[in-house]
Amino acid sequence: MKIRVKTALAIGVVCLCTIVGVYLLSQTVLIRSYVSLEEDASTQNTKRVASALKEDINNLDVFTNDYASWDDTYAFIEDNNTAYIESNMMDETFRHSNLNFIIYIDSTGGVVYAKAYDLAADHEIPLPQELMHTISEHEDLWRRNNETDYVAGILTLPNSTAMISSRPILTSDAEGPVRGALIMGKNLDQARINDLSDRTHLPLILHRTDDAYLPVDFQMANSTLSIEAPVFARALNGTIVGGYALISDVFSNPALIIRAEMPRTIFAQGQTTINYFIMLFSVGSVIVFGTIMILLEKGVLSRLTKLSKEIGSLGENSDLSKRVTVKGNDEITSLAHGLNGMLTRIENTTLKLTKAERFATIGELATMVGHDLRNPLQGIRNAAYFLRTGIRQVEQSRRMLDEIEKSIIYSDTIVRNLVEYSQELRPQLTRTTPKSIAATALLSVGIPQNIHVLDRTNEEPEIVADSNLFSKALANLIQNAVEAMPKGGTLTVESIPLNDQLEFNVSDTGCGFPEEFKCKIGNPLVTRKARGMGFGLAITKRILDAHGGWLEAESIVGKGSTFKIVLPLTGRKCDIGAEQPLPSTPIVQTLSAKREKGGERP
Amino acid sequence: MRERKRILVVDDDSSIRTTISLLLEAEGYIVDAVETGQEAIEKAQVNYYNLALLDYRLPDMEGTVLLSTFKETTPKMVMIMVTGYPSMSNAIDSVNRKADAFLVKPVDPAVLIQTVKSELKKQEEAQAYSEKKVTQFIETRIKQLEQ
Repeated sequence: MKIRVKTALAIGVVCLCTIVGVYLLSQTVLIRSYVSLEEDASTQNTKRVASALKEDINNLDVFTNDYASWDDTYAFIEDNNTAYIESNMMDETFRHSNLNFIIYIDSTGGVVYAKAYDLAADHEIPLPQELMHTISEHEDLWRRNNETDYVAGILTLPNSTAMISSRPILTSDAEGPVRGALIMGKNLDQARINDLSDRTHLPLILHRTDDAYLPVDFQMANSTLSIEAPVFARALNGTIVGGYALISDVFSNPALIIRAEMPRTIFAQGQTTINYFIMLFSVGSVIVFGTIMILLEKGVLSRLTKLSKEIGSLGENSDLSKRVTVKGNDEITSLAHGLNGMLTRIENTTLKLTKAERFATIGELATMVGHDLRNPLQGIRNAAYFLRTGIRQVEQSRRMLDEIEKSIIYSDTIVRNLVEYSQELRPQLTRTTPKSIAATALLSVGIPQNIHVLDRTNEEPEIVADSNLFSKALANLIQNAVEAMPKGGTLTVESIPLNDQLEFNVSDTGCGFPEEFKCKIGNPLVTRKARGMGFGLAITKRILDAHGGWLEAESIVGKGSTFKIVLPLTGRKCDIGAEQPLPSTPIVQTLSAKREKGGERP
Repeated sequence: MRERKRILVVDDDSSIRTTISLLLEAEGYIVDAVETGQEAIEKAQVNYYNLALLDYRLPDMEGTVLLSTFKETTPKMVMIMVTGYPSMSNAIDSVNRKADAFLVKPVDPAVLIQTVKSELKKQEEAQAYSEKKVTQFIETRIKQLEQ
C-alpha cells in the first residue's frame, strides 16, 4: 500500500473514530442529561396539575366556610326556618358554584337539611345513598369539635369520587359554640377533569388507586409513587412524556393517580442540537482531514513520492552520476543529502572497482597471452641465434626460417583470437538450416587428408540464428576435433532435431579428455593443447549464449570426444534481422568465472 | 675423437623441438626430440641419453613426474627443466625432485647451450672421478693380490 493511501487511511480512521466516539458520548451522556431535564420539567408540570386540584378543593373550602360562619346558617340549624332554604338553597346556588351536594348536620349527627344536584342534567336529585352512608360511617367528616376544626379533600365513594369540605357552623363572627357541620361537595367526574385539563393546558387522565382495571403504566406509577414522593415522570414513547401525581384523600390515604401528558419538546430539542453538533463536528473533521492531507501532501508526501520515484529511476538506470533533487531544510532534505552522498561514494567505489577489475583482467590476459607467445618467441629466438652464429647448411637454415614463419603466423592467431574474444557479440538473426551452417563451418577449417569427414546434417528444421557466428561456433568444435586426431581418424558432424530443440554433434576418434577437464570447458585460457589459449571453446560458448543455446561434452580418453551444441527452437522471440545485444559474458565476467572455478594452469 | 653426447628433448611445441634440435645438433650433440612423456620414457628405454631437456607441461603428464621417473630409471642422466610458467612453487618442486637445472622460457639459446655444456662437463668430471677411483681401487687390489 502506498504511503499516501496509508496516511489518508490513518487520518481518516482517526477522524471517523472521533466522530463515532463523540456521537456515542452525546447519545449517552448528553441525551441522559436532556432526559433528566425533561423529567424535571414534567415533574414540575405534574405538580402544577396537583396544585390546581388542591386549589379547587381550597376554593370549595372557602365557599363552604362562607356559608358555615354566618348568623343565618347558625340560626337555621336551631330553628330550621324555611325562609333560609328558599333564599339560599335554590338550584341557582348549585349551578353557579358547580356544587353537587350540600348537607347541614347538627352537633348530634342529625341531618338538618340535604340537597343534591345533577349539574349535567340540571335538576335536583336525591342525595346518593353511598354518600350518606360514608359520611355517617366516618364521624371525622361531620363532627366539628371546635371553631377551627374542619376537613377538606378528596373523598372516594364506592362508585364515585368527590371533593368535599366540612366546616363548623358558627356565627358570622366565627364564634361558637359549634352548632354542627356544613358539608359541601363537588363530584370529581370527567367534566371536572376536562375543566382541570383546560385550565392546565395538559391532557389529563385520572384513575383511582383501587381501580380493578388500572392500566399498566398506572400500575407501575402506583408501585413507584408514595406519600413521600408523590410525583414522578417518565417517557411514554418517542414524543410524549407522562407525569404521574399521587393524590391522597381526606384520611391521608392514597386515593387517586392523575396522569398529565406532555410533548417531549426538551428531548426533541436536545436530539436536534446533538444532531446539529455531530453534523458540524463531521464537517469540521472532513475539513481537518482535508487540511492535514493537503499540508502533508505539500510538505511530506509529494516530496517523498518524488524522492522514491527518483530513487526508482536511479535503480533502473545504470548511470551512477545522477543525483536526487535536494530542496528545503528538514529530515527529507537530509535523507536526500544522505542518499546523494551515498551515491557519490558508490560512484567513486564503482569507478575504483571497475578500474581495478580492468587492470586485473588486463594483467591476467597479459600474463596468459604473454605465456602463450613464449613458445613461438622461443622458436624464433632459437632460430635467430642459430642463423646468427656460425656458418650453417642451407637445408638447416631453410628449416629454421620455416619455423620462424610458422611461429609468426601462430603469434598472429593468438593476437587475433584475443581481439575477437574481447569484442562484443551482436548476432544478426536470419533464417538458415543446419546443413548450411555445417557446410560453412567445414569449409572454414583446414581438414587434413588423414581425417575422414561424415556430414550427417539435414536441411530441416529451419532455425533462426546468425549464420556467420553460428558457423564459427561449430567451426571451433570441428577445429578442436581435427586437432585431437593428429594421426587421422573420423570426424562426424550431425544435426538431430529433438522435440523443441536442435542438437549439433561434433565427434572425433581422437585422444579424448579426462572427466575433470569437462567442467572447465568453455572457460577461456583452458586448453589441453600445446598451442592455443583455450579461446576457441570460450568463443563458441559466448556465441551459443547469445543464441540461447549451450554446450555439452562427452569423452572417453583414448577413444574420442563428442561436443554437443543444443539450440532451443521455441520460445525465442527474435526479430529477424534485428541486432540482438549480447546477453553477454563480457571478458571480465568470464575471467572472474574462471578464477572462481580455479581453472589455473601449472 | 670423443664420443658424441646424446640429448633427449621433450616438448609439446613442434617449433621448439625443431629449433632446439637443430641448435644442439649444430653443437655436435645427437638429439632426439619427442612430444609426450610416454614417448620420452619409451625412447629412454631404448637409448642412453646423457641429458634431457624437459618441458614443465606435457600433453600426457607433468614434466616433474617424468623427471622423477627418469631419476629412478636413469639416475646418472642430467635433467634440465624448461618452463613457460615461472613460479616459486614450480622451482621448488623441480629442486625437490632433484632437477639439475631450471630454465625459464624464453631461454637465451646461448644460455641454454652453455647450461647444457656445463652440466655435461660436470657429468663427465663425475664420471672421470669415479673411473679414477675404480682404477685406483683395482690397482691397489692387484698389488695386494700380487704380494
